[in-house]
Amino acid sequence: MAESADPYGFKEEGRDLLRGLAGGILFGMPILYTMEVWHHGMSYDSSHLLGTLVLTFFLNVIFSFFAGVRKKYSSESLIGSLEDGLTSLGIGFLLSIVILWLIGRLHPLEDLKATVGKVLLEACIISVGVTFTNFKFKSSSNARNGENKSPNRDESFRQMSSEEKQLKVDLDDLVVTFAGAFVFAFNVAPTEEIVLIASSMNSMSILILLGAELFFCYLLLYAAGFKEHEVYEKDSIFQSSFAETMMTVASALLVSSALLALIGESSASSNSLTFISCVVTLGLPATVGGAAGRLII
Amino acid sequence: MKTPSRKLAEWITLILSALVVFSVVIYLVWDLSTPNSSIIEIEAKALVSEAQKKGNYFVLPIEVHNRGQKTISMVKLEVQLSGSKKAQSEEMEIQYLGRDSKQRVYMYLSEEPKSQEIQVRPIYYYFD
Repeated sequence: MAESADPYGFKEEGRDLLRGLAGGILFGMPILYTMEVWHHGMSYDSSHLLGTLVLTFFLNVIFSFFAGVRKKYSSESLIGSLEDGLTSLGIGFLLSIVILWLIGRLHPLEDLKATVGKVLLEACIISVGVTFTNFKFKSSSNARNGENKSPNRDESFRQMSSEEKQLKVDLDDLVVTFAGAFVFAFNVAPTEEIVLIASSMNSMSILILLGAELFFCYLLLYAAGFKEHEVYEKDSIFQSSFAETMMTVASALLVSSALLALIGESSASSNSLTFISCVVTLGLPATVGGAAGRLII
Repeated sequence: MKTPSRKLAEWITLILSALVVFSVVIYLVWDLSTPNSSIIEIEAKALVSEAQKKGNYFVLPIEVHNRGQKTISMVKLEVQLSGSKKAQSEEMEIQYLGRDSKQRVYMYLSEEPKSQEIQVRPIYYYFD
């Protein structure tokens, strides 16, 4: 868009905000209607809520940084990513307040802490949707308009050695795996169903479930043929389908652990065996989300 | 390549977002620093003056107040009624009660509440 037609950037920023709102709604709608999240928001103490907020902010920032949302500000990409993370959270809070108010979940006489808790938990997942959507559709839009998505990125990427290219691609994959796992797992982590399922399974069932997670991950990443995996270091053992699958599942389990500790049912953390069972149980949607993230980006 | 400068609209979005996020963070940090106990005082009383007759029953509002600084769940109350007929007790449960917040529960009675002695007491609560 010509500079003179939009000198203050309101049209472009307005379009970005609307796109972000749309993405936030898409990602956040299931969780906005989940009763356990409202109740957890009311019950959690401030340390839990702060921890969830920090984790989400961190996720948004690294997603923005590695996915290159603000790469046009090439000398400030980390600062730009921090700003993007803040903006995504801000949009998340706004959308969360509006939707919760529309469905009658915010009461004027309710304690402020309860309201903040409810809004915050919902805003976290919405913000990841905002970050993802702005990245994905801004790239597509630039491509359609013939604009180079990130001219500095392409040039600097071409100048890298194959080892550096592979590292860059792998880091991008890791980030989207975390983001995808976070989005999928966040929707179910606060629910009773995770503990219900985990407590009904014995150790053998949990092991079989873990094996199934590895299988589904491999299926999504390789067997289904959705997308070619970029390989620049062909001799590296870390580029094998086995290693990639293991790392994706491991990332998903890490995300599951963090979410269960922060926003899961308190009984999920009652002892180590229950916690591990719940992590593997939640690991299935997290794995699917992590693999889906790598397919979409 | 020259780094493009941030436009006014982007600054406005950023500042507003930062205000919201930092306000929440400051509030939560302040809340963390205030002392709170797990021992909660629950006040429950029958609002006999507000009872109304509806059909064959009397509807009696009972107000429950969580005076503590934490949200509590599964709050169980016992309502003891002693009137012209034999004494009876009923139990009721509130799923969630926010800190320093009130909730009303409406109870159906077959007798006029003013003709009875009504006592409400909490039995237990629990934290999530």
